[in-house]
Amino acid sequence: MMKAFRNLIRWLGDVLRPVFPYWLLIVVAGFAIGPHPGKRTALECFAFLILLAALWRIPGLRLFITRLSRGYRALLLTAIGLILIGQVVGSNRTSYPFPQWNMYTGADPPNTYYEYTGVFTPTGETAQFPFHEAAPNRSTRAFMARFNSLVESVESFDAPAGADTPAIDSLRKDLRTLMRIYNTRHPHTPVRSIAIARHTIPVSGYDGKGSVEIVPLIRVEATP
Amino acid sequence: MMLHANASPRALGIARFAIYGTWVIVLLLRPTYRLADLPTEWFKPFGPLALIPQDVWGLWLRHDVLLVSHVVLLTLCAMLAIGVRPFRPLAALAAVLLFMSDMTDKGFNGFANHAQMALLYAAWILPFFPAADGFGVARPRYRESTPWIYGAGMATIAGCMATAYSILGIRRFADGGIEIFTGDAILVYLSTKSLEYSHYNFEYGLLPMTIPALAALMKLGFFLVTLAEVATPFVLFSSRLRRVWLIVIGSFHIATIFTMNIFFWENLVLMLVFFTGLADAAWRSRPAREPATAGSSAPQLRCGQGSSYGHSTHCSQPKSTTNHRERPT
Repeated sequence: MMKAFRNLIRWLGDVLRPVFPYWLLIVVAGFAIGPHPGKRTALECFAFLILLAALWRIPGLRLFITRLSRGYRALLLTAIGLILIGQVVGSNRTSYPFPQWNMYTGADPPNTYYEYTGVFTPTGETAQFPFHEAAPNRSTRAFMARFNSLVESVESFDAPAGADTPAIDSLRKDLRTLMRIYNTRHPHTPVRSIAIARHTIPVSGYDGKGSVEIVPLIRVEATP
Repeated sequence: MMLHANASPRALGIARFAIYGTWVIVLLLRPTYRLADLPTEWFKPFGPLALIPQDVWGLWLRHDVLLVSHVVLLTLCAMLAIGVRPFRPLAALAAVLLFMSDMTDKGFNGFANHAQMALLYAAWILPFFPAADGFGVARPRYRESTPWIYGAGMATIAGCMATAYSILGIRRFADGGIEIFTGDAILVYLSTKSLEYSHYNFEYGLLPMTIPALAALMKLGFFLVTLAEVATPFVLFSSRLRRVWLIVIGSFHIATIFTMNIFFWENLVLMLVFFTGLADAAWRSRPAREPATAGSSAPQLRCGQGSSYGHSTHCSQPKSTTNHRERPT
């Protein structure tokens, strides 16, 4: 039993040894730069070690890497290492251009979203405000996130007129700027106002779009 | 044998065409210079680019500067896509401008995500390789003293993409645990993405909310996609695993259009080039015009024997093709 255990440890040592220095460098760099090491990061780092060790066991990879010159080997390891360090760092603002890859990873995501409804003149037509026409970012949803975070930063939308919080002021100002840009580009169908509402989807008991709970939050008029 | 290990100049040229061609489309669809209308105080640079003083960014974000840089970048990417030389200096300039373009776009969002990052990494890696030696307007070349260099270019980009897919899958397991697959997380993701603002306006992501069998299928699919993501680096070494991976990840990227209004078309292009043998097959089907490399069944061509590569200054006598270890490194 002890012999089998010793053999297992020896085998593990043999498997991990070739990739350990590279892995350690990634982990140390990630933890040194990153502000958010935690239980998850430790788990991930362990998974990276297993992944690297398993990959190194593949003869095709070892053969390929040994064929490369030293410079190209360094390029390959640096490129992959930087992507891994970015994941360990845990802060996209710090690690950019090597941000985290963490799409749809939360087990308890919010079942709410914000809708920005514009009222357009002269017809009075209402429709979702076309953010992409005011700000043609490569990801419109990513651009909208700046407004969503402003909405979330407002503690209460029920403050009496004239007693607006700085967060509401900031939201109004930014939305008016956006409406002004849109209206400059669409002088014949300008937007008159944008109404923001919080939509909550009932996960259990969903019964069509009619069952979505809609809470109006604020309406911002365009600057004349 | 690793996928692309013996890639030809033509295969790397196809990759170059796909990468810069995709960038041309991205730049045409979303011209960065139009962001100059947004207030500069909304712009917040990240990472090392945050070290650039705000005054310099103020100059960069001027409409005329962004317009000129956009036109230059678009022209560069178009030239690089068709294989104009000198490739490396042009590609290096494009890499810097693409970085600035990406920062300009994301700096107005207030946060950095990984959108288009795989495509950006590919554009950063290509300048290190002779990617204009094949499949371009310039005369084909073959570096016989370093034949592995074409495969190295393909594999470095494929390796970066594979790493990104894999760590995303690992993050989902580490962050969401098993609950992310057994709970209603995927239903929430699908329904919110179906209803919130989008370009496509598909609402099929709402169907699992009312059809329990579909909900179960989505949960199972979510788990399988995550497993496939984690296993991505291994698909470069096994054609059988690669076929399964392509079906799972390919269907996932297509399904997200209809169920989440998300379409990573750039990733699909990169997948076709770097996770299939299509680029290499395009070479094998035309052996008479291409040089033979290790492991291929294509006939060996000597200098000047019917191959345009034969006129290259790098041309030399063909070497043994039976053992990769014997090839010069």
